[in-house]
Amino acid sequence: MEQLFHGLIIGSVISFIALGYALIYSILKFINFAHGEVMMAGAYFCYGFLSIMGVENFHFAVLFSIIATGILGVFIERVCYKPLRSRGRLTMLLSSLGISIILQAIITLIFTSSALVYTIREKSLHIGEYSLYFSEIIIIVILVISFIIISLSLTRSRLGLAVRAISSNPTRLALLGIPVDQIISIFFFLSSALAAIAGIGLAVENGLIPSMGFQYSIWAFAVVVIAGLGSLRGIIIGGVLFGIVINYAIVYSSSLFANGFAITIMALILLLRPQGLFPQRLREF
Amino acid sequence: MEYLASIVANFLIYALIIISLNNFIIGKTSIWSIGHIAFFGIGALTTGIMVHDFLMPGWSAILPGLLISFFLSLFVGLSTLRLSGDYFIILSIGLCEITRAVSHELKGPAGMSGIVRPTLGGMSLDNDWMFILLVILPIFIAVIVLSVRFSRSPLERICSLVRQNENAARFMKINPLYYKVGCLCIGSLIAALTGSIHAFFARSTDPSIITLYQTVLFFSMVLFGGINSLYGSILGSLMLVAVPRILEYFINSPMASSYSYQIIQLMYGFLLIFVVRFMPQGVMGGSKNWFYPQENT
Repeated sequence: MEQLFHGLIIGSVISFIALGYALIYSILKFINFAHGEVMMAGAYFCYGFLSIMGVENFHFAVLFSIIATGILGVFIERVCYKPLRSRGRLTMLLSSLGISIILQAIITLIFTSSALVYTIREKSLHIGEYSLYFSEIIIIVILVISFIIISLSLTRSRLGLAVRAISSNPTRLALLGIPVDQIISIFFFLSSALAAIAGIGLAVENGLIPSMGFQYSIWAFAVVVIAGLGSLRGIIIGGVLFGIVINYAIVYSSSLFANGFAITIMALILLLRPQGLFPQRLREF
Repeated sequence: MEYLASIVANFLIYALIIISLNNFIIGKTSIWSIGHIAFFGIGALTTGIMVHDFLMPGWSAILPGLLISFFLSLFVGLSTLRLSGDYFIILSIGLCEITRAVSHELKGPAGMSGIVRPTLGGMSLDNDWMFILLVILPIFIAVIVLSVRFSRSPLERICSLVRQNENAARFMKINPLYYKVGCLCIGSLIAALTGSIHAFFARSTDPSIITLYQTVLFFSMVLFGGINSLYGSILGSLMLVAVPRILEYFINSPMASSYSYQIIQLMYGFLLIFVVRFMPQGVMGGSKNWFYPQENT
């Protein structure tokens, strides 16, 4: 039971990361390799606010670091991706690789490569013999709320329409007077903020280490591929299921086996059903 | 002299990997094989296991590694290159991760040591310089000759057509998949061969090299040198070997030297972004129309 809950948390974190990938993929059609490192930076921002700047309240620290990570995401987009947008998505992909190693190096230089934990005293909830941290419940609640908001705004609003139009033809949209740059920046802010929530949730569960971004971004990749690139519903369902399965795999064998298992599922899905388990269906307006 | 020999060997090995990545895979088909280092690892690990555990004699221990990488690259290529999109990159990362995990599981995080160097026609190769001169250098020259011949052959025109316009290639009754997978296989074979040779040279394997970051360093060197440019590849590998040495020479404090890896990482990251943005042709002037793939035209 406790393992199930732990798996649920890991699954929610993975679907947060996968959601960030899918948001960027839905608008710019490229895999943002820096996303895992942005998540890691978000978790370290929270550590910095708590331990170095001395923010007393954990929830304020979380809020500050979500905003800071969102701004970091927008900054990265403005400096490194925007000038390359007209040159094809391959260049953006290469640039994001560069950013990911830069972020990792900077975080390691500042915080050293040893593992850290948040120094928070938190209320925990006792259900029978199991104790749950308050923040663990909050992660799941936030996931559900943000999923509803994002999926509604992507499928039912003019913003979602604009996003789909941008991903098919950005130049013409700019001609029609739609603020393409702003919308893309908003998306980067959103995906980085989601990454920060995921990173903080993960750090509360497992502690902080500079290489944490990479491991989870691989699993998030696997989820995005299994669900089908661009399917939000599939990403949430797939991510949570995947987290539970992975957690059991880690507990009952080893993390090596879990990794191999995840990647084998991904390869099989790529071979047999490349559009993913939940292919995207567009709603006509 | 020993130190110098290891630097020269390092340079040749880096050059072999970067040529196999740049002049056989990226340069010909514009497949950014991000898990390329996995094939190097497979070659090294398989050779080590064959020599150490299965007691295979001498040079024949290279073959299993080549076979495994050939079939793996065939599998990865055939399964993902027929799809449009970034699936190849995702599976390639997966391959890299699996290779590292398997390597950790089989031989531990420190890798294996005590791989016996084979002899060459009865001649002992225990001297590092002899090994470089008689094994690594001939392979290096052979790969360079192969790459030059490839770049001048009609095959290169076909690859160029496939790269720039797949539909036109299909119209000419050329199946793009075969050429992409073919180039991928050749590149992976060379990388696996390099891995085997490195395992013999160092008498050990090192699984810590099989990370994505290693490939990112290679990518930044490929772009810095210029895509599909032979001189560019050699210049890139020269930089990859020289920069850490120069940094070591200038940084003497122990505090800074414990972070030298991060400093190098930072430099290569900035270099990658700078080159992509401001000089996509690289220093040695690679192909011009590189970053305008067919999806944009």
